[in-house]
Amino acid sequence: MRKFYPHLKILLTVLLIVFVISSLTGGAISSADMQTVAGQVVKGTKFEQMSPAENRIIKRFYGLNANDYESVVLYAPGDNMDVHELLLVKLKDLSQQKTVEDAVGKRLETQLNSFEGYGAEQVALLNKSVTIVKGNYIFFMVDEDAAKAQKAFLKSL
Amino acid sequence: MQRTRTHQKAYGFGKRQIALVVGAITLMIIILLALAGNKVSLGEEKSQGLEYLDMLEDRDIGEIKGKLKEIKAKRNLEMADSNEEAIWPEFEDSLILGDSRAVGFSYYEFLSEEQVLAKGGGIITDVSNEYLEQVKQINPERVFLCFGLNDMGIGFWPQPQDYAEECRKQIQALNQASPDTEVYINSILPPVGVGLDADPNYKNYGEYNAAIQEMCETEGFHYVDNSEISEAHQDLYQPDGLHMQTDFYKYWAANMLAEVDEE
Repeated sequence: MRKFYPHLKILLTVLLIVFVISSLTGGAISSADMQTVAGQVVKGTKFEQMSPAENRIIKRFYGLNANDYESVVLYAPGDNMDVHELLLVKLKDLSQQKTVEDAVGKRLETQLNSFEGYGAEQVALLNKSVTIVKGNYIFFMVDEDAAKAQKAFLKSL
Repeated sequence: MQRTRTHQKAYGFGKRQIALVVGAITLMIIILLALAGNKVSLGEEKSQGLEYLDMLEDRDIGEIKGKLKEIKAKRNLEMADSNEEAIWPEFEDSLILGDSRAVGFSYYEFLSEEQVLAKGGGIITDVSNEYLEQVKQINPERVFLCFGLNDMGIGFWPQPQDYAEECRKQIQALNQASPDTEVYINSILPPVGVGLDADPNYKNYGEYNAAIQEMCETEGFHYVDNSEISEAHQDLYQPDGLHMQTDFYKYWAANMLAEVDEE
């Protein structure tokens, strides 16, 4: 047992380093399935009564092909004056993180440009939008309940 | 005896012959009377037709056109209910320019985003400030202008006549940039309910529409009167009383096409 002790120390040190790095970079991989995550996130929000958008809407608003990812759920605004929306993406691998982050950033920018100097309420809400990248999951929400949903999202992973 | 018999043979008629002659004469009289009657009747019809043509001649051409437009609008609106799919291909070579209400045409996916040059807060001067070059390049068969609400609220044109004059300038700019394009200007869809309180000037939409219509009549521009469909489908407004729900757009589009069909 004593002769394995140094190896055990090295192994524990490596594990500790991996844990610290993954925690700092948000690279934790969650095995939670999208249905569970989405269910927890929308609970108690207006999206709970809505149906998720079709894949073509995901493509239209974000330029993302839903089939390229493990799973994508979008609750889109009901009309062109509405800005409430929720996007959840489960990545196939972490290399997809940047593409999705960029798409979210672009979508937010487009919406802000649409309402700038015109829809004060919409702009205020868009400015309070929440984006979280947590390993293989990405969360984007524009809603008064975004803070509450954010907690539910992190808890569900 | 012999002579008498011969005479009877040569000049005498039996009862049967007399009856035949009388019958033939009666038949001829009936035919003549019938023909004369027909002649009278045809003459009357001809005279009625001429009177109708005279009446049409006397009627104002504008009135007839208006009646035709009314019939076409009714037919198109019926089509919006029975065969909505037939409406949207009619916009294949058209552009819609406008504000947030026009955005709905592409947002609800009736038309492509390339066909709808519109944005929230759009005003009539966007035509020459932002879209003229695109219209020129695309050179569409038709352009439909769907502005007005923000124009009333923004305060640039406090007088309806000034706004109508601005519309005239913008249509003229489009005509110069794309001479083959027919331009149609929509009446301002009225705000309803709470929408009327969203801006102090919104309640004046009727005066603005009257000024636009008058300008169009003077200039010979196409004016799409949306007052009837707005009235008939108030239930298809958004809760804000300003924007439209998905189902409103087919009626709006059908009404625009009624103006196009007049050509």
